[in-house]
Amino acid sequence: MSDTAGSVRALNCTNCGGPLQLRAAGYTTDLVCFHCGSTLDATDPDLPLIQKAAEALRQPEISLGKRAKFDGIEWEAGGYLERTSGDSGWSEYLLFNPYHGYRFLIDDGRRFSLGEVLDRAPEVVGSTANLDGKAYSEFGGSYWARVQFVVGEFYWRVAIGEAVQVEDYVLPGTILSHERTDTEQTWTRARMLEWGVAEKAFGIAARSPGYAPPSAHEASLYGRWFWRSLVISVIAILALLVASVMFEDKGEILLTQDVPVQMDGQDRTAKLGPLILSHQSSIAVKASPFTLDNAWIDLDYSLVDRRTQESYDVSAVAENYYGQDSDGPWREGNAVPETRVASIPAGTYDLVVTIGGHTWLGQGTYFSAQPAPADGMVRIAIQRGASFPENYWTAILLMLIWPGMLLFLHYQFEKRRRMAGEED
Amino acid sequence: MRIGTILHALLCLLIVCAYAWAASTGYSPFADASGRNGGGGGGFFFHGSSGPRHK
Repeated sequence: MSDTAGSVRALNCTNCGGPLQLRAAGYTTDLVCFHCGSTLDATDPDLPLIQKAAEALRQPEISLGKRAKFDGIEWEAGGYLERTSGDSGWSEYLLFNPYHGYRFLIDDGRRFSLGEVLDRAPEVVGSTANLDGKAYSEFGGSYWARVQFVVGEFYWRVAIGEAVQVEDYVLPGTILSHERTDTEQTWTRARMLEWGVAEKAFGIAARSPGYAPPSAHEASLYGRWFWRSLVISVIAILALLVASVMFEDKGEILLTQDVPVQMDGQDRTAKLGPLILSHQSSIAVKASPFTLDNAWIDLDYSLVDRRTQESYDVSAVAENYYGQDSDGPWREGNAVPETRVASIPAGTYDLVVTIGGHTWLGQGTYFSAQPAPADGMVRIAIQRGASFPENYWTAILLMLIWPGMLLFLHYQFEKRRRMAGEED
Repeated sequence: MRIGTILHALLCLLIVCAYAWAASTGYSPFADASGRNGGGGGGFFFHGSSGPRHK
């Protein structure tokens, strides 16, 4: 047995005489004439007139009688109605299959959703409706939906102006609509179709996402893309960790030497070496004065290649100040500066250190007077493989830019979706 | 947006490779000086101290 729509019965409109087709004979109660818009009673073989058309007929975007497959089941569009609530409006196509009954193809002007009337009511607790183990959150408040236009055949008495009170509950991608009148209530579950699915199935022009407010139950694609890109980023960050363990220099000390320093403001030079670099690498030069009280030491380093005499120059300052002012005690300065030189080619080097010690006398300040520091020593330690945590953090930052952008777009999307619900 | 995901994955791969290369050659744009640039840096505009900033 194939899942195809049922056979068609030919009739004539009792108002205008136009030819009609009854697609779901035995199920249909109302038949709205395609030619004059009059509503006929399809339960009576004589098709008595229920209501004459109040306005000119419009052609639905999907022609009635067209068939399309969703999830492997063929459906035929038999009825079409338009509903409004306040300033917003939407269309509903009634789809029919003799073996599977009815479905609604809901067109909110942006996306299509496929809905079915439930044969059971969800459990509503506060602002949440629970159905099949899933929780749907109430979206917007209760509102009235009125039929503005109708054509085709329906399994219930439908008329222009018919109004139902509606509450919506949303789980991104799906919406539960609770429709109530004085005499009955129904629950409908509608699943949003992917972009272009309904258009392709019925052969109509495809919609484009654009910047229109999202539908109430439209799932944010940005959210899905965010998680995907975050997984990629996390894998890449783990790869960074592996790369840092595998490739970074382990920090071998090449040379440690104590250099005398005199705190008289005069520069003196010392040559340290040789430093042998077996391969291109970075080095860190750390200066540790034995004592440094309210004084500073200027350090100029020249890393000189013994073969080419090419020199890599860099400077540092070791400083340590402290005192007391109206706000209390204070301290500043880095007494043990570490200087990092990157990408030094393999070779044999000398480190020429020009060193000058200075004392701070504190003239014209709240600086506490200290005796001039005595001359002393500075320990210079040269290590192969400087630490560059900035490389690591910059790499991570670059990897997180795209997920960050997607997260921002996701929140913007959700904000617009919620605002659209509040406006309704 | 699938192209965005592919480009992001390629960018991450490129960054990991660049990081591995930098780690193995001791390269960093954040160094006080760099042999690749022929030296310099680290005090070109500010050299030495003149006492505490706390005055």
